[in-house]
Amino acid sequence: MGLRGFARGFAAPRPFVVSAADGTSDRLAVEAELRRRGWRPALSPAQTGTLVVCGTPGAALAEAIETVWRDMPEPRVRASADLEGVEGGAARAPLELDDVPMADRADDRDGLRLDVLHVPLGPVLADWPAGLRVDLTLQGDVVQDAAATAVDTADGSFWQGRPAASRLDGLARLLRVAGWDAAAERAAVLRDETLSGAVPDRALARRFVPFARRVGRSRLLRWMTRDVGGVRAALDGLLRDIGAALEGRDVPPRPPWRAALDALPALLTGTELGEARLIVASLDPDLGTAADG
Amino acid sequence: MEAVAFWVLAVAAVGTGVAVFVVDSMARATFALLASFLCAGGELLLVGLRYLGVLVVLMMIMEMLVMAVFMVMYMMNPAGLMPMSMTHNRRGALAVAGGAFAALAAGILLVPWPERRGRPPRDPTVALGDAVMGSSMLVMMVIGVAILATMIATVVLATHRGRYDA
Amino acid sequence: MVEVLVLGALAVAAATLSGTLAGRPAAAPFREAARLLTLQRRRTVRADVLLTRIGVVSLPMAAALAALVVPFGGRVALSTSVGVVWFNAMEVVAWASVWLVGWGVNSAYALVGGYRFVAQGLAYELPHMFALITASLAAHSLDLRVIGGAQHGLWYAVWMPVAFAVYLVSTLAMTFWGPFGHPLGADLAGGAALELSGPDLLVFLAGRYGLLAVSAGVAVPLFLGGGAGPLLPGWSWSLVKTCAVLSLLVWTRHRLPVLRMDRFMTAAWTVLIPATLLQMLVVGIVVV
Repeated sequence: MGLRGFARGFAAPRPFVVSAADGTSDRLAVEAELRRRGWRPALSPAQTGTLVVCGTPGAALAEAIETVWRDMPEPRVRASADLEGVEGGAARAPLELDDVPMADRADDRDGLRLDVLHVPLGPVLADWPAGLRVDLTLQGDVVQDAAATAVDTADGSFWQGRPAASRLDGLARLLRVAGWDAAAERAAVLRDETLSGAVPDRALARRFVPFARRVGRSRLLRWMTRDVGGVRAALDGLLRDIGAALEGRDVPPRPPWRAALDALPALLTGTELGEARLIVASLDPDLGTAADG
Repeated sequence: MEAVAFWVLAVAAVGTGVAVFVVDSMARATFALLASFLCAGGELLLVGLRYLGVLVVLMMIMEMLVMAVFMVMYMMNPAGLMPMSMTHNRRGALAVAGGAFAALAAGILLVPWPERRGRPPRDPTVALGDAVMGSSMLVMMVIGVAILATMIATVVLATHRGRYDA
Repeated sequence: MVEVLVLGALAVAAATLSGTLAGRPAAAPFREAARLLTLQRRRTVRADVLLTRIGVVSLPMAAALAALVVPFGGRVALSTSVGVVWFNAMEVVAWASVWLVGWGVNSAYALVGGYRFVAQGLAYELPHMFALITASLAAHSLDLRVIGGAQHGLWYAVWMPVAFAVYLVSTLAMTFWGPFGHPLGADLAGGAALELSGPDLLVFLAGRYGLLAVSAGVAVPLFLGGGAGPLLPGWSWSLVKTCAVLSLLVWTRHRLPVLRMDRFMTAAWTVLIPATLLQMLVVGIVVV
């Protein structure tokens, strides 16, 4: 047991972070604290035993989180937003499963009759808008049909009056989904610096310029986002708006999340799963703001 | 030592070959077949045909994975949720398999095996290439590349839109 | 056997370098390993446990078996005349590993991850093979030591740059690393490795770093003159060159976004394959 105890003490925790619609400020605090400690968030709940829930989830989201929590590997801990207060997992009741149905089949667009799977994206998913669930009908990795649901909403206004930080947050998420962690991390650092107020906006605007140039001119990113449901335009728009906001100019308000949810099914149908993730990240619906929703 | 390895691989090859028809999932059947092929590749390595042995390992893994791709294309069924039988048309298949086995076994017993003449070549890979292609080596190489180019060009020209194009 | 251990150490170094490039402390990979070792091994509902385990274990095994034929200077763990083919065969084992892991855990997203890797492997195996064959063709041998020794001052990387570039790109694809890391992508919450937990995940990821180190090691005799170099003994030049290639491969992860195969597959078939064929033609004409 001595060796195991030592290993547990030496191990760097890797929490899986779930945010409720009203959990934005908690989530930002968690991300900043993770960065300060040199820890990384986990990509999936299976990879870790540490769960951090940000904000106060409503009943539907809480149930989804509970399902994820009961399946996480031991040793399980639930940490608070400052990553300190911990609470171990209680004994688990055996999972009751109905008989898993066999996949149905449907014609694909080439007229082949192929298996169809019904798979949800979210609401408990890394780099995903808080409180959103998109139910997909998949054939292979191609989306045949999609339905978007707001599982958890709030009427907060965390991003009110913080246009640059709000868009930097969206940009960081989009870059992470695009598989460019280093750039996403840079965007997150810039976001936190903007929010802290410790660095004057002029200095931030100067720091943002080379970053925006690197992201905006990346040929691979350009190639991977071209003709993917407006992702390219959204990315360019984000870069432009962040630059403008940091320089103190006015930027157009973010569109209400209901509009994004209404647009999603049409945008997602026919896309590959990776493209679908990019499209959702580029719309970046913020279900934590009811005012404009 | 080599004899032991030979028999272990031989029994494993036959055993995993039988397993193909016993297991109840397509993925397991595919990989049982792969294991059988890998054992056969191991036998080739044992008799000193290094190039052929390694090539069998390389090609068979690729081929079985291509099979897996087709499986996934038609059946989006992770972990083979539903058990399924790997045998169809039992009686006919048994007759065909039995006949083929009898013919091959008869061949082994009846054909007069050639006596070894000379010694094994220093580099069996070169000797094999020479024996298979001989003086037409250049022609074969050119044709090989031409066939590959034709295949790729045909696919590119034939698919006016791929799986992911709208 | 020392050579295999050195490559193992280089795999650990690659993990450390990757963490350092991302701004994490140098001890981060060791602390992550300790974390995974003390984490429960989790099973998903109705998983094919046997196939998953085979997939997890076969990845580091393939890397170790491939390391057997990687020469350091004149030293090699297993002397064989077909080292190039053996290395390629072991790389292809990774296809099976990733696919088995993706399939076996019974999760749609993991399966999509496995499926992505097979598509990527199929698209990049041919250019990869042609790049390997081009170097073998020039040296008239499939033995990595002979190829390394045949370059007499003029590295193959210099006079067959296309083959070298294609080797580096396709090697990233075969080790699903960096810009080719889509099979384990963040958009699938970890892709094929989504449901692996604890020691399983550790073994699987260690295998990937191992494969990356071996691929860097093989680039040295193929294109960078093997152990040739002034003053220092052969093995140390091999080590220095391997470290340089490995650093380059690791660095791509932090410099480039991920390439999706639905976009990038076409490039493999219509650009890389013709380019390598032309390179092979040029080399063939020069050699013969």
